[in-house]
Amino acid sequence: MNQGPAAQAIEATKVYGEGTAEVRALDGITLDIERGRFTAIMGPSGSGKSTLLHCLAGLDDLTSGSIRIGDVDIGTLDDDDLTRLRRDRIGFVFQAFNLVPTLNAEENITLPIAIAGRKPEKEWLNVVVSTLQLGDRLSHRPSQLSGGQQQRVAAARALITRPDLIFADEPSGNLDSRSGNQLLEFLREAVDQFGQTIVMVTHDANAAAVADRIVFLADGQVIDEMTSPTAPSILDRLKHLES
Amino acid sequence: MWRAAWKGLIGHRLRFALTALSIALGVGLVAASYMFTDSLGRAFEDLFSASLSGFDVQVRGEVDEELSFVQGAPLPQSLIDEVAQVPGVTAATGTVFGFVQASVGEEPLGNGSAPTFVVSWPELVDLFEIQSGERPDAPGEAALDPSTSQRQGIDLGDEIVAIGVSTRETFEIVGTAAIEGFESFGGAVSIYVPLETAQALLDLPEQVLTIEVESTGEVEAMIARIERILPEGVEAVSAQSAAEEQLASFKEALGFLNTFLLVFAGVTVFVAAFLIQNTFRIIVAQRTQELATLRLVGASRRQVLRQVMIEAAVVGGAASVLGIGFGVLLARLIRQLLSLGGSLPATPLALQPRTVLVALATGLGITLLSALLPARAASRIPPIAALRRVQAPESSQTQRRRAVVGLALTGLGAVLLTIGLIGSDLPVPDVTVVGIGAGSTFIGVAIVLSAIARPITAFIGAPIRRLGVPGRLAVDNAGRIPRRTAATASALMVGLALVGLTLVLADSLKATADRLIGDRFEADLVVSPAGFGASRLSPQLAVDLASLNEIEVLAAVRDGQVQFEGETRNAIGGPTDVLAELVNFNVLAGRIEDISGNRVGLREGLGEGREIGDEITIEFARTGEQTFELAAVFEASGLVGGILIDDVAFAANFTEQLDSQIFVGLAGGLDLAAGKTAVESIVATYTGAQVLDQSELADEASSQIDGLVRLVFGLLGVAVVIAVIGITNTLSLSVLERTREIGLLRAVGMNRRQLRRAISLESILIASLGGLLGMGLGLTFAWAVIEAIDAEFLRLSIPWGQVGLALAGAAVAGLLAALIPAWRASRRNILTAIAYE
Repeated sequence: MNQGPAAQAIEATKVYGEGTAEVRALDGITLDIERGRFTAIMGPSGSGKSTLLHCLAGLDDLTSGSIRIGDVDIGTLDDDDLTRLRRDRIGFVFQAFNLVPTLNAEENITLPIAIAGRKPEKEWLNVVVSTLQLGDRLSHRPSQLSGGQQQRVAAARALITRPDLIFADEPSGNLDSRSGNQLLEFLREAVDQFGQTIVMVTHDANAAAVADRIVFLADGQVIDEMTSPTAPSILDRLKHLES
Repeated sequence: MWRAAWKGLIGHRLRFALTALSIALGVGLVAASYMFTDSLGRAFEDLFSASLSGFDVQVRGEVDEELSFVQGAPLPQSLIDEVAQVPGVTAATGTVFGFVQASVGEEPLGNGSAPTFVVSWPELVDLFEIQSGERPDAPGEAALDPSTSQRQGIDLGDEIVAIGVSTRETFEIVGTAAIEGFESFGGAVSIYVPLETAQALLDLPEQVLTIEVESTGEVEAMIARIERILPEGVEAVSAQSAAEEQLASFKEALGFLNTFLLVFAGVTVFVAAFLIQNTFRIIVAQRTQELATLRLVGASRRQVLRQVMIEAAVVGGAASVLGIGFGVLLARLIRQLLSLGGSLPATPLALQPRTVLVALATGLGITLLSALLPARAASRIPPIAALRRVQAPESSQTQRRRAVVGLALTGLGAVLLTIGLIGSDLPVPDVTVVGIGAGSTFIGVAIVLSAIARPITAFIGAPIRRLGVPGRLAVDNAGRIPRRTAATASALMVGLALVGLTLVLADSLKATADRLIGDRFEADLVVSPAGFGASRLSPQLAVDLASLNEIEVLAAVRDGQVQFEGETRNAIGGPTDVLAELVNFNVLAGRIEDISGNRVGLREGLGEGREIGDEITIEFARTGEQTFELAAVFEASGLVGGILIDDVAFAANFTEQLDSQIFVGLAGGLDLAAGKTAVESIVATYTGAQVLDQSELADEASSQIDGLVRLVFGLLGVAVVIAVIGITNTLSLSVLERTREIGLLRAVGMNRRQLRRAISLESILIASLGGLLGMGLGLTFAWAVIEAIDAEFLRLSIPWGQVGLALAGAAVAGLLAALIPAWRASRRNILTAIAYE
């Protein structure tokens, strides 16, 4: 397996609008996402953290600079190749509305594999399902699941393809604290047990505390980093950064 | 509320645009039907009054009003002078006219769809206008209508040949002439010749059919004065009432055409109603939060209802205006399609106030009516819905109730259909009862479908579900909002039902024609006028044919219209003893050979309840009421219909003595092809006649049916187009609702092609659902119609190949309907899609 970074942003710049209305959402960010680690991206609203996540995931394109997933420069891919890359090598957990309402939990979990026209590996599916404690919910439709269960199904879907990278955008943002913590623990477990690489955008210090490394953004630039964070140390750093 | 309604419209203008288009199409057809028939009616009104404008009073053989278009008894030519002597009469002239066969070189005169007439040039009264050259004065001279002269490139000095009852004459064209202001008499070929020549051609020596009178006095007084000197059986009428009589029968036919066109306009509007209702329902659903917010800030239910209805009124009104404009174009198109090669006079299309009113009322009415239920649903949205995202799914109780209501309506529709088809004594026309029955059946099935759309789409979508994730999503999405899917599919169902009905009826008729010709046609060949139009054959043709050694027997038949029990019927005259050999009449009572002189035969329907030997009365234009004795009752065959009399009785009771068909039996042992060649060698010397054998006769029958089917399909096409627009509309709105879901699918790895496929398959599934149901209903209707006609000879025949093709067509229509929504969905930015509220 390639031992380089799972993903890289090189001089990544994203500009919206023109002239006086110009907004530099990303302003020349260079960043490595290390393999097998849990990276959190924090920053105030408008700092560019979501834009960075979207660009890293190939959902949005850069104005200049490049994004590499493994050794592929995703700026060179057409829509079909990019779609395939997302399908096979990237997993997503969004803040809300993560599931297809007409499919049951199991079908939602195996959706990327089904889209590819393949069969899920039974054993891996069992591992993922039991890790996320969804065994008794597999035949339920999203509308019959609680918010926490829905997000766990989304996490299971992200894991099912054993992607190089999972991107999570405020995954616990819509959940009560107990369900939120439970979900974050599962994500942590995925990194520790399966060697999964996860990038998570959050503004919640408690959530960020499960990460191995935190990247702080402001005005489209990386302004700070910390490793092995705890919730109090993060809050401290945030206070410091805002002043 | 106006402001909110207006904003609602502007905010959803794209969603309303397709709805407006469908209303406009329906309204357009309504307007076009009226405009077309109005302008046609006006054209003929002008023509008839112009043709009778050069004189004040017409003298003619006394004739029943209903038969005024059949030639009455001829008048002695001497009567002209007697009429001219009546004080106040300034001029009187006699006229004869009738069918001839005519040619220029080898080519028959005429456009193949309107008849050819010879008309005597009036000597004293100006009925026609010379448009070029001069009037035909001398024997051997003729004037031609300018339209024919132009179309066939006939110049002054050219020669034409006309074949009359027993003579054949060559004429030099010395001029062109027509009724003032017209180019032809409704597309017919008119050959104007001097009176004596016309009398010779038509075999009316020293006789005229009408006498046109110019006078100084007041018309009513003149009529009274002239009538005093007229012999019995001759009458004088004003030019105006003569024109009105001719118009009356024409207007009846025009009214039928109007009804025919309006039926299709009605179908189109009906289909559009499904689309309108569905669109409003979807838009109301999508605006739940907006409407609930209105309620939250204090709007009453009535106000919400009114807002939606105002929106409907604006859409319906605007679309109706657009539709009237569209109708003008459509009327032109219909006129072009139905012009039969230029035989209809070209008059400007008349947009009467009545047409505008009916079109506006139809468009506005159908929109308001269709929006009523969705508007009521909108008014029932509780204010709390403003704070909730998810709508409560329909309860199974609602669905059960809907299934019951739907079944009841379907049942009611079936009953009405049956009553209408069998015929009833209700104070409304049977066609209306059938229409309401069919409409009620369609709505009933649509409502039942809205209760069971999910299991049904799952069932017929089973093969699609196997096509990977796109297939799976397609089937699930199609069953997701049953009511929406049902309404969308139902619109196509109506179209396909009528397509199916037409296909089956046409095939049954063709099969019947084939079988009847096979069973009943015992002759080897039949000689008949080529093309449409009321053309006739010179009796001389049959005389010439009789001299052929190749022919063993031959029967020339004539037909003319009579009044029988208050209805206008066709009477056929011919040598019944020979005819019985050449046509299998399937006699039910009596003998065909017994028909002679005052003994007649009747088709089964007309002869019902009578016995051989009963006395029956038939009214002729020439001889008035005549009494006959019933000699035979025979089955309907499509070859010889109505009333059968022998050639002697025909000659005695009709003025016009021309053949309409000649049945030919070849000499025994003679090869058909050789016989046909021999017959054709004679027929070729008579222009505008053709020789058909049994299989060609069947082909001609089926090509006539095919022509009608094409016309019906053209008119149904608009309804099918609307149904397809409906699918596009529903899909677009559904896709919009599912924006976030689609963004998610794309994010987790579905490519554009797969997404497009999912949407296309959903569309194909909905279209196929409509197609299958429609075809099922269509076949059932066809069966019911054929059962109701209850004619022994008409049997159900289902063209499975065409039925399959129509179903495939529905699926393809579904595919086409999905093109734009699928393309737009696949192009959406994933990020904005996921963030879409």
